[in-house]
Amino acid sequence: MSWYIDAGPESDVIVSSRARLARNLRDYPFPNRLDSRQAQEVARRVTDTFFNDEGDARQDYLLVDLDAMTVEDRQALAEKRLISDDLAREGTNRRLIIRRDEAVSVMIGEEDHLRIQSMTAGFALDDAFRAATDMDRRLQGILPIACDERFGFLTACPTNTGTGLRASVMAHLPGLADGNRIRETVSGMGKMGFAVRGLYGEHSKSKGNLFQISNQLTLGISEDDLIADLQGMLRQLMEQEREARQGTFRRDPARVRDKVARALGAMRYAYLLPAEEALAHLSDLRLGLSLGLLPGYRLETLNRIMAAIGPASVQKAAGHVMNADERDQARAEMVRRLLRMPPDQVPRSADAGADQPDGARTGDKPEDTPLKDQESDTPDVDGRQIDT
Amino acid sequence: MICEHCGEREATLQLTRTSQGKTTVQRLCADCAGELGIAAPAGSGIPFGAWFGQSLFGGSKPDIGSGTLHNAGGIPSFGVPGGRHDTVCPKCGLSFEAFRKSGLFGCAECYTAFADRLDAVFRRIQGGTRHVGRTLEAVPVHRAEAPAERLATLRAELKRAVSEEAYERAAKLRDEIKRLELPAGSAPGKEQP
Repeated sequence: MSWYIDAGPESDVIVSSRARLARNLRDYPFPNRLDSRQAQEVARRVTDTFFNDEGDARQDYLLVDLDAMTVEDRQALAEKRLISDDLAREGTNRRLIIRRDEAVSVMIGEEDHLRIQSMTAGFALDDAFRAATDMDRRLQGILPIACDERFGFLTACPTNTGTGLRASVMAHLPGLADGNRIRETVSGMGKMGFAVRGLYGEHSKSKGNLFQISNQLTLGISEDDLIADLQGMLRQLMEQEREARQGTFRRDPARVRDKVARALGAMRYAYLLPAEEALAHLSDLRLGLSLGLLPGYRLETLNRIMAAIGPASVQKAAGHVMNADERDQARAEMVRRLLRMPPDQVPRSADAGADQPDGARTGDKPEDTPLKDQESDTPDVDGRQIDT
Repeated sequence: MICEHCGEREATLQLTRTSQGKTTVQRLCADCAGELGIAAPAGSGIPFGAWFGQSLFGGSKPDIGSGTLHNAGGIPSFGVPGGRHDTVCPKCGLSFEAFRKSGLFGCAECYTAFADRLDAVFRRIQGGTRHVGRTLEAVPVHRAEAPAERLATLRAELKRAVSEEAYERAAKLRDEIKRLELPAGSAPGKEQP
């Protein structure tokens, strides 16, 4: 079971949902004003306390020392949306505590001491929020968290103060994009208090027609209301998107079929596949699937492909540094292989711990984990699966 | 430890609250916590009551202005009356001016230091100026102790158990102490069962 592979509710439009909570320790300055000794203390204190606590911490969670990884490996994690771009760039005293199924994690060393995140497949904000809250509760029980009655949870940036909650979804909106209605849709959502960001590229030109939609406000509104508002808006958006798709298809079915067929052809047979192109084709294939034009293919396969086509991910799967052409070739090969597989044989498991050597990773202190092990033991399913 | 509210029952929950820079800790029994409407961790037997935020503040939604929010670094000036000297956070040294320029607070204390200027900031950035969501949970007393304190408590209990010849209890305590004492660099997987 894997949040980024599974098809969830409403997954024809909503690819995944995410809840992120920003928290800080009471007794240290925020990361932007920590000296490196304090930053080290914060990282050490959080990870030690978490893994020494009673319960399942050591069995179910891994500690990833982001400092010990190459920047490419960190980028691979960012491509899978497991860490933020900020954390992937240069920095120090960065850690990731991640559950084996990769659905819940805690980033340490970002803009706030702790960034709790929980991801789910499809449109499932309640589930994502619940899981994030469980982790939040757990951390509150073992660490002193900065919280104030007037301002709520205290964060470094005032855009997070209060609930510290950023609830978001990744939405696939080819219908609205095609009809050139994205810009007005985006500005409409902005007026309602939601932030919209093209996942790849700016707003109206998002490659792959993927958009991240989230709440903007975190203060003066309760978590439940915040999520309910977002859900309400998204239900309307889903309807609009589906209508737009149906409309386009009804008006010119041949053209839509042709677009889907060409995307499938390219993905099944191309020898060189740049990432941007793969994303564009994926968008057409997703659309085709939702319109019933791709019998014999499953959403899980497309999700699997999307998780693996990022440049750093491709390189990581190959196990050595590559130039752009080599990556394009490797990507093409990987996509061809995945599309050829019978849908029920597409690797589904994201259990990163399944074949870990005994006692190797769980609860290890960062300095004990040699760099080499990081590469193969990082909870990145794709690398291992593709190589087999 | 006896509940600070009723003075009768055993305190099983600890609630930490911060207001205007002052942190207070209150130890309560389950009944009083329920009465006071304090939510507690699942499984503690306390019904999900009103969160502190909701009981103190209104739940009205802020009037949202149009346009997207950018943290472009920096918070616009609010026409602060001239002649006021710049406020500085006593803990981390960040000045309000520096906060405006960078758009980032330096520490939790900054919120208190800049308190009387933050209404304007949050009204502009968030629409709302008061938190109405969840706050810190009340946590079971023994989990609220820092590891070092917990170790001291456990060691004292172990001594008592041994002197009372309650060796089974002593063995359990000894195991927990060993777990907390785990020295840096040893992998948990190598522990003796």
